[in-house]
Amino acid sequence: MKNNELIQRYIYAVTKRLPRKSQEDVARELESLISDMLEEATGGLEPTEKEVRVVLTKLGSPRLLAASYHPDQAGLIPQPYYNQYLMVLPVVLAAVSGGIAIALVLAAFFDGPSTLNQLTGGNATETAASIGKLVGGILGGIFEAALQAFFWVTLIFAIIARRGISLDGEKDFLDTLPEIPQNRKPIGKGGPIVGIVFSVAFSIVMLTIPQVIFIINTDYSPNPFPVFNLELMARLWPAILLIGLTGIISNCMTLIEGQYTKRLLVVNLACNLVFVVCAVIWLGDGSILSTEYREIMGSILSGETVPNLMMQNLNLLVLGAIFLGVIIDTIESIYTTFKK
Amino acid sequence: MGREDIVASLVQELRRGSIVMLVLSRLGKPKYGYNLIKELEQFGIMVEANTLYPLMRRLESQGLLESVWDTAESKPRKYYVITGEGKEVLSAVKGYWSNSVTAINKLLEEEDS
Repeated sequence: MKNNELIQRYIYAVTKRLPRKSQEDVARELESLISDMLEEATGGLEPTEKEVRVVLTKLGSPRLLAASYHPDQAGLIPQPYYNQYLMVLPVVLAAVSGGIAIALVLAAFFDGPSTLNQLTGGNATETAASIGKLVGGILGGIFEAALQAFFWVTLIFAIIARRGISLDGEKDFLDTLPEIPQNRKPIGKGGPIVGIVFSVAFSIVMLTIPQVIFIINTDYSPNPFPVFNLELMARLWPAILLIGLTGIISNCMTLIEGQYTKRLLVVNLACNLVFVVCAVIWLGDGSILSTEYREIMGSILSGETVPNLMMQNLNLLVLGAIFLGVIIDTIESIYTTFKK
Repeated sequence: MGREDIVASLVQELRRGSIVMLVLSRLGKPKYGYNLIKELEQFGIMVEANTLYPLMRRLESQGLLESVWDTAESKPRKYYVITGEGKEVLSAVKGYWSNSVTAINKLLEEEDS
C-alpha cells in the first residue's frame, strides 16, 4: 500500500470515531504530526513503508487514539470502551422502547370494540380515567423495558471493560484499516434507528401477539378474529424471527458503516435475500390466513368479484408487494453504492 | 504484579499528575505540538504524542489554551498558546505545587524508619 494511502486511511480510521465537528481539525493536526514524526525518523528523506508503519504503530491503534480524545471517565466503564458504550446504548434503548411501545399500543387495542367502547362510552370522567389507565400502562411498560435494556447493556460493557476484552484486533490494525469512502455522503442515523425500532416491534408483535391483527364483522359475530392462522404462525416462528433479525442486522450494519460502502451493500443484499426466502415461507401458502378471516371477508365482499379474490389471497398480495419492495431497494442500493 | 510493575505504575501516576501544569507552563509563547514534545524531551520529560495532542485539545476546550492554524509555512501547523484564564489557573496550581513539594521533600527527608 502506498505511504500516503496508508496514512490517510489511518487518519480516517481515527477521525471517523470522533464527533463530526472536530473530525476535520483533528485530521489536519494528525497529518501535520505524522509528517513531523516521519521527518525526524528519516532526516528529511522520503520515508519507506516500514518507517511509516513504525510511526503509525507508535501512535497506536485508531480505536485507542480516538478514545484518548475523550476525557477518561473514572467510572464503571473506562475508556476506550466508554466511547463504544455511548454509541451502542442510545440505539438499543431506542430500538427496545420503540418496539415495545408499538407492541403495547397494538395489544391494548386488541380487544377492538370493547376497548374503544370503554374509552368513548360513559361520561367524561370515566373516559379520562380509562385513557389515563391505558396510557399509564403503556408508559409503564416502555419504562420497564428501557430500564432492563439499560441495565443489560451497561452490565455487559462493564464486564467487557473489566476483562479487558479487546473489541477489535489491536495488534494488526495497520493491515485492517477501513477504506476511505470516495465522496460518499454519510448516511443519517435517524433512518436506520427507525428501521430497527420497526423490526423489533414486528418481531415482538408477530411472535407473541399476532392476534392483534384482527378482522371483525359484527353481522357475523361480535368478536374480533385474528387474520392469521395462529397455530401455523406459532410453527413458523423461525422464519418470522429471521425476518425481524434481517431488519435489525441490516440497519445495524448501516449505522456502523455510516456510508454506502461495498461491504454494506453485500450485507444488505444478503439480508434482502434471507428476508424474501422467509417471507415466502411465511406467506406463500394460503393456509396462513385463518378460516374465520376468509369467512368474514367473504361475507363482507360477497361473490366472485375481484376485490373478494384479492382479499382472499391477501397473503399473496403482500408477498408480491414485498418482492417489489425488495427489487426496488436492491436496484437503489446498487445504484447508490456504485455511482460516482 | 512484580516490583517493577508497581514502581512503573506509581511513577506514571506522579507524571500524570503534573503533566497539565507543565504543558501550560511551556505555552507562554505559541508552539505546536511536536515542538513542545521535543522541548520537554530536552528537560528529560518524555510525553507521547498520542497523550499530548488530545490533552492540548482538551485544555483548549476548557479555555486554558487557544489555537491558531499557521498556513504561511510550507507545512500547515496548529499553534497553541496559553490564555488569560490559563495563566490564572497555572499560577494557582504552581502555588499549590511549590507548597506540596516543599512539604513532601521535608517528609521524605525525615523518613520515619
